[in-house]
Amino acid sequence: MFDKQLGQVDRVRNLDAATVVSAVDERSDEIIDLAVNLVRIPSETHPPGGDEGDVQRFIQGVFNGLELEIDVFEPWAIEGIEEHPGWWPGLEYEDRPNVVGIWKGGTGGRSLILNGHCDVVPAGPSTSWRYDPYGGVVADGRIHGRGSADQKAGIAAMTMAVACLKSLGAVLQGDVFLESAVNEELGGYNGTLACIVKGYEADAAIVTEPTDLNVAPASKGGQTYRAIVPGRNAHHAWAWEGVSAFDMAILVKNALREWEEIRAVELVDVPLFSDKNRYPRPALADTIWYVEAGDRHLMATPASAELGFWVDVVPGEDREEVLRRFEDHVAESTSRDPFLAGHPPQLERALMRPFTGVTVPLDHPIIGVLQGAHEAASGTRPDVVGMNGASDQMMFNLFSDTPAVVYGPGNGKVAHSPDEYVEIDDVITATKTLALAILDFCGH
Amino acid sequence: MSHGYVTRVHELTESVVARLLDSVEAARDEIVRRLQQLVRIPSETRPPSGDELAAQRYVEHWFRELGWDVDVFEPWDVPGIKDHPGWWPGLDYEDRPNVVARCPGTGGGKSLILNGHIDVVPAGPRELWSVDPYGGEIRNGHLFGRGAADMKAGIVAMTVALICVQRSGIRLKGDVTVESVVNEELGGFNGTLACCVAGYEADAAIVTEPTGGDVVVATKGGQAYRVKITGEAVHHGMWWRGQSALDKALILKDGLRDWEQLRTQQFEQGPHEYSESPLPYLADTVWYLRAGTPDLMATPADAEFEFWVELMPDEDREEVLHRFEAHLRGFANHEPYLKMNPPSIDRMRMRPFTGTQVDSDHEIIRSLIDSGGKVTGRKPERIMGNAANDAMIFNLYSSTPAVVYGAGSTLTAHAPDEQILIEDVIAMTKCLALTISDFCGVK
Repeated sequence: MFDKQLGQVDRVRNLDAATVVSAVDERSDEIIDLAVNLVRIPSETHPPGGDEGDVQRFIQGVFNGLELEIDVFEPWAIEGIEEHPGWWPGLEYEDRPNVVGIWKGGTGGRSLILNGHCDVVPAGPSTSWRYDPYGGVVADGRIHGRGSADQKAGIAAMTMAVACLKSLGAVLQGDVFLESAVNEELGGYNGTLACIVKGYEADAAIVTEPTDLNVAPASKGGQTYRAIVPGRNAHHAWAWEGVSAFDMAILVKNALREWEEIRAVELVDVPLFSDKNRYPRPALADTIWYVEAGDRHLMATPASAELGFWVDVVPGEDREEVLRRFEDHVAESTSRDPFLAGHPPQLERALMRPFTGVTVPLDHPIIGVLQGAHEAASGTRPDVVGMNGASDQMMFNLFSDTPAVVYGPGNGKVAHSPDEYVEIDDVITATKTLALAILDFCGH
Repeated sequence: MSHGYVTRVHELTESVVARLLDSVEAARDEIVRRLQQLVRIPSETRPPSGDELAAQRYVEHWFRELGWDVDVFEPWDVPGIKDHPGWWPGLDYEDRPNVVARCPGTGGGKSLILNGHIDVVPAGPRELWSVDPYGGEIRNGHLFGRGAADMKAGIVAMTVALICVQRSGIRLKGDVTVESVVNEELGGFNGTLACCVAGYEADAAIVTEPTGGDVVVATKGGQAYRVKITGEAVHHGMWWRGQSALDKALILKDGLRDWEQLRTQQFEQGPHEYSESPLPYLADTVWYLRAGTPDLMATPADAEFEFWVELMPDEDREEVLHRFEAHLRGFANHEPYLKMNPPSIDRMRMRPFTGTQVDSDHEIIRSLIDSGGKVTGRKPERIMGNAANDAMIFNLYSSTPAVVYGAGSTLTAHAPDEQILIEDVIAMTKCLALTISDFCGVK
């Protein structure tokens, strides 16, 4: 199905794939430098605020240097945005401006948005890192640091794709918008929403989050839960008289595992998330990132345990329906235990933006364009996959008419962890792919 | 007074027994009043110090009024005690005196120590109690309050028992020493140690902690542990690529269960003779677990949990704990990630608890059992104590063999709405009065 859409790249006048590829290769040092400089400017998000101001000023400078039309605005400044259904209230945007760079093209072609977020999650204690999290150290063919993969390499690649095309004298038949958005991490997304509500739209968008250079037309949604699990205190020497909330929490965890198995059966053919090699389980639930049971100063069977975990919802599902069925399952499963039957665990949906699974139709032209571009850039076909984590792609696909897919360098596995890094070769390949995709999609 | 059961021949005549029981009956109101007054004086231990002073002043005053020879001293003032192997360092004994009374006998009899701790654990949040924790309120024949069961009832019963012996005109042959000590709760035990090192000794000691009316002839030892595990954090969307420290913790918890099974098999003839627990060798006793942090949505990169491992009396503590640690490490080694990234298994810093036991045929035990049978019609049983107490100190660090006997259930101790049945306290006082007379001998 994708073959016949394998882009026009080879047949382009004067700007054939090989020319673009070597232009990018020639500027590879600049591409690395840009990514390194972006990493070196800390831009941690820390709700309700964030430190993106400095990195956005830097990016604005870079866009200026490319002679793009610049638009800088704080998300909350957009008229009417706080009433928009997609607005998540309570966050602050002082000195957190979006920066949009516009490369105006002609008419008759398609327009394209390249979107990336410039904020990063906190680095955590630097003692956990081998390299300084904000050092941008280049070693072993990699750029190291918080944000390297997620997702400053993506911003560098999309920016330098435009830079390389401009330096080759490309004249496009559609507009290209470079969006450097604030506030994606830790459940924000108001940054990209502001770009949408302000009026930036196009025939497609590419969100340059790390996909390990795969093309991701879809991503999952889900819900964060907090569970309080009861027990009964007894002096540890009489442990059998009590009920350990730790033991009860294990029963809740088992219920989450059971739910994953139920979902594996009902989602066995779900598009893009069925490859067992890529997704051992299509919809996660046994994802407890935090648990605390008992009291250090009371040597007794724990009377209470608290857990935090995430439950996946896939594109095309009724989110409410799935979450209700999940909650019913946990209630039923845990009620098999006599203690929990009388003292059920309390499940609470955390207060956060609802995450809905989204997808772009698999025959949308942008998918074939990206595949073709990547193949021309690297010699290999990229896989078309579902994205494991949520991203600003959801905002485009829920709240705008711009269908958005995700493609970018870096592996999500190292995002949000100490020792985050991105392979330099992948950054260069992504730059080539994005440049070729722009040419093909927009026409010139 | 006989009830037709086979018993050893009690030393006491029927008329002495009757006098003692009548004397305690006549002291009913006094027992209740004294217990209420003592419960109403808070005496919480708060490491490194404690608030026992006011309650000890009350006891000292009571003992002096009785004309007893009273010794008042802070544990750390006993010469040489800080170098004693049993001394647990770092605690503060300012205004925390022991109160010891000596009642010499006429001579030629066996000597006895009656020991009880005056301190109590904190009452905890007031909203969990249905009464004032220091109100000493009586409802339906139960007296409520922090320390009612653990163990001011014991202190009152042991004191009034001796008072009643004296009031009955009985002159004891052996010496009796009454010890009201500080600092037993929350892993202290230096209070009773100080009495031992100061030179108070006897042919037997009764520690009047609550035992539900049975005689604890053996106590367990144990050790608190903290295990720490590292994992590998990945973003929750790629969960399966990480190593959840919680999952590893669950494996190690299974190792505790496994150890319990191993221990059960080790004792081929069944659990220790006097054990009452359904599972006699506890190790799966986790009171605290944490994995990950609330605001990092990734596979938990670390986890820790704390628990207690039990030791039986007369076991080589070091040997068993080493075997336990080796077992847990071996268990961890079956999992490839844990094998490469072994958990740390650390003994928490606290006084070592060693199991001790007394010869089950010891005179004091037979005397308590016979006395208890005479009073209630049910002979107390020889049992194993689940939780540690000052008997361990006597048995490890002195030549005075100690058993534990007292009214009240341990289930309400350390909990909200601690309480004791007044009838049990009366019965306990009677039993102790008979035991004192029988053991020490009546002139």
